[in-house]
Amino acid sequence: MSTWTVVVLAGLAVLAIRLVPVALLSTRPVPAWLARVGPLTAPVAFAALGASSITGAAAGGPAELVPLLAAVATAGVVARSTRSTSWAVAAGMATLWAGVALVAYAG
Amino acid sequence: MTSTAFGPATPATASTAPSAAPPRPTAGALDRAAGRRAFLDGVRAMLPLLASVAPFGLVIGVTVAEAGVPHLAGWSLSWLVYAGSAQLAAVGLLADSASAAVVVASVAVINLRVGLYSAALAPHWRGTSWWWRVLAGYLIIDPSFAVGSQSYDGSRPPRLAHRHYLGGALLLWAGWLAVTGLGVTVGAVLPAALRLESIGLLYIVGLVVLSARTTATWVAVGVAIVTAAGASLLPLHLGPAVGMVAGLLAGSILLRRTS
Repeated sequence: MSTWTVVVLAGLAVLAIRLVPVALLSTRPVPAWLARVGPLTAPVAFAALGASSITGAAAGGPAELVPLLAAVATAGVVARSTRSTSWAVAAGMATLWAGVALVAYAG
Repeated sequence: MTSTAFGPATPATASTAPSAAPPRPTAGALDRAAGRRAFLDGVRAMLPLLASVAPFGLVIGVTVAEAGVPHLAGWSLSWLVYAGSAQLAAVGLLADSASAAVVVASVAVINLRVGLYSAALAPHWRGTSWWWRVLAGYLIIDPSFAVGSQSYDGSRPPRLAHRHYLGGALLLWAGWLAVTGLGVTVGAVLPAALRLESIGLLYIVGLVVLSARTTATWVAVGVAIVTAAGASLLPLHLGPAVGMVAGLLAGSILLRRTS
């Protein structure tokens, strides 16, 4: 099978994953269980993706992980106090850069 | 009488009556202006997320260039699959001459979480045209779902929420095609010291904090974090999907018991 055929088949598979829920749920009533878990989807999905990213960074050792955890904690605290994701990112990145510089200085 | 979407009804003859007052914008003009504003708000909301995924897009482009996969076919994964992790897996498998079934199954499993995003956004698209649902569904991926969760948070009327989502999602799509194409053609010179890939993680930390308002949500988030971290050793990048399912199950059980 040619590379192009495989690429197109993979694209069709992902398109089906994207569109089947849209086709089913945009014309029918939302099932009770989905209505219940719907509001949970975004925070849970992002928490799982975030945890996966942090676990990946852990492979780089403490020099990689510690500044990132400090940045994550800062972003969480700033988001809670300012209710702004932009401030959370700005404060988190500043913490990350400071942490990386400190680790490099200490090392 | 002519009514506007943004104010009280006005007499239809008002525009023809002699008056010193400046001409009032029509309902259509106000409508279009509000739509443009919502679209641009979506674009602005996507910018930090695009900045965070751009280095990843460059890496994928370079991987295509170096893997021995035909460049145009490898880059076309960006608009056909349109999901970074799955694209990276597909390029690696294609380079290893894996069978079509393995490539397609791997790409599908890695993207199962996108089905969850789709299920979460689909109810907001009820009553829209089929082409809108196909377009909006095709554009779903982590950053566009992040912007979409803001678009449909109830603060905008549905039509403006659609524009907001579309603004962010189209910018991401165009940006993703551009950066992966750049990676394929010129290679990556990533400013690694800037650690720009961390912007995405910090952004979603902010989103979790802002969107988790109930005990059940925090419990679900906690279970998702622990499970996803524990499942990170699973093959095929299954950790996030396992974490999501575990978190949603925990939250659902808690909500069922407390309701």
